[in-house]
Amino acid sequence: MYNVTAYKVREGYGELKPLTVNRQWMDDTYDAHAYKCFPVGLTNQMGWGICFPEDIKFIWDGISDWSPDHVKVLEGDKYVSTGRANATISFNTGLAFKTDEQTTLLQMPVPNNFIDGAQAFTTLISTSFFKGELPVAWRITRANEEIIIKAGTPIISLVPIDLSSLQDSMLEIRPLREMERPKIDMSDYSMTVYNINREGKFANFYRNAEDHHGNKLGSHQIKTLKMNMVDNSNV
Amino acid sequence: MYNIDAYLTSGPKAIITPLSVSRDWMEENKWAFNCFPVALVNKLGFGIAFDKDISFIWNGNTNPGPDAGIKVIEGEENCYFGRGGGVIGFPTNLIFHTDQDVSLLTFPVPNSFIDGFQAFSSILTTSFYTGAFHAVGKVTRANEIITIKAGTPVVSVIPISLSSLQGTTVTIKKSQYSDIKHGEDYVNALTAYGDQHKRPAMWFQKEVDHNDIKIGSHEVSNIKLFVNDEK
Repeated sequence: MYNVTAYKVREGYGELKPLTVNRQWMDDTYDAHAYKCFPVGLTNQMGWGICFPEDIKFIWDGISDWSPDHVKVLEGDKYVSTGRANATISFNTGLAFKTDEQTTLLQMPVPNNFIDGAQAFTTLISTSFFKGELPVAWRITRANEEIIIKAGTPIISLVPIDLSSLQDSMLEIRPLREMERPKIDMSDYSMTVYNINREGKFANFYRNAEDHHGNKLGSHQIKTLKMNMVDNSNV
Repeated sequence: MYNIDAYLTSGPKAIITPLSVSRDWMEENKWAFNCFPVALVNKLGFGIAFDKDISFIWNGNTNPGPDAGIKVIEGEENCYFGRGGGVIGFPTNLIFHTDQDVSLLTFPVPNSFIDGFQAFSSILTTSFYTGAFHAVGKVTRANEIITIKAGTPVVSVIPISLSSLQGTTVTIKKSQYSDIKHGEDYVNALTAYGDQHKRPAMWFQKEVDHNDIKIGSHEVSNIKLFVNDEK
């Protein structure tokens, strides 16, 4: 568990919230079946999102240089600026963050929230000592089309990360014969899954960490991510 | 430090390498490498790529089922469908294995932008899951050819301890803008430095403030990850 403090340095700008499992495109799938994908549903809740109370709309003319004038803000200009130029738009988060020395703040695109024509930059900020307003920016990839960020849509996911524990990690590629794994008859497994799906149901074997005979295969580290928030800004 | 094993099954093998700092758009605008938070994160993870171009076009179908509505123009052997409309999988033919308290996070390659395509993020419990890993992406633009060039990573994977993240609480406090160390003075000094020297100040990278006073330390200044392919 990490210690993270957020400071509201300007009122009325970014709103911080734990990310929820919901995504509009997942709601729109038939019978909301996309939520049955456990790895996706779990990841959707990874991090805190920053969103804004009003719609933001902008358009880029396709020229990427040092002029801030190639991106025109059509709505929500209080929340964004174009000063970074180079086909980007920057967000006035109004938030600063503080973490312990062994914790860095990873900013990444909101998991599985797809906005055509633009994508958030991914960054690592050493919030143990950087005490400025959190810089967040998007790269615009599609010219001459209006891009709308609806009010309340998270524009970035923030996740504390311990880079020291990741440093020098090693991935070893090995031949399959060296792998110890339970003997599962894959054709039997696949047929079982197929038959369950044909009944309009989901097998959920992976979610339940078991094989198709109900044998326990292991355990998920966690099944639901809990990212909490306490707002003491009015105290 | 984490150890990950990747077991090679049959079929076309993905290329898995530590991500490099380089991105095509940054090579065209080298100033971007001066942005330390971007350059550092570009190396966050092992990238999964393929040795041939992959081109496809999506007809806009969003229905579930095996018909993804995607026609592959090039690189069909590296593509898989069946997850529904607009979703394309890339089998790696690698089975990842991690320790019990480690999961595998897949996310979009940091700061690699492919217009019309974005990678899914997912968390796999690789301590017990023994299926071959698929990188998966969503096509966001219909009726246009999308090409992923050979060698371009489509996703990044990193080991992650979800237990250490679980239950983390952000406490929000009120602060005055003038209270923050990297406030208006800092920003003004940064701008003035750039105007005067025609290059970025790099104070954040050097862990100093605008008065050249040491203010802290980055956890790491360069991410180092390794792949050992025993072949």
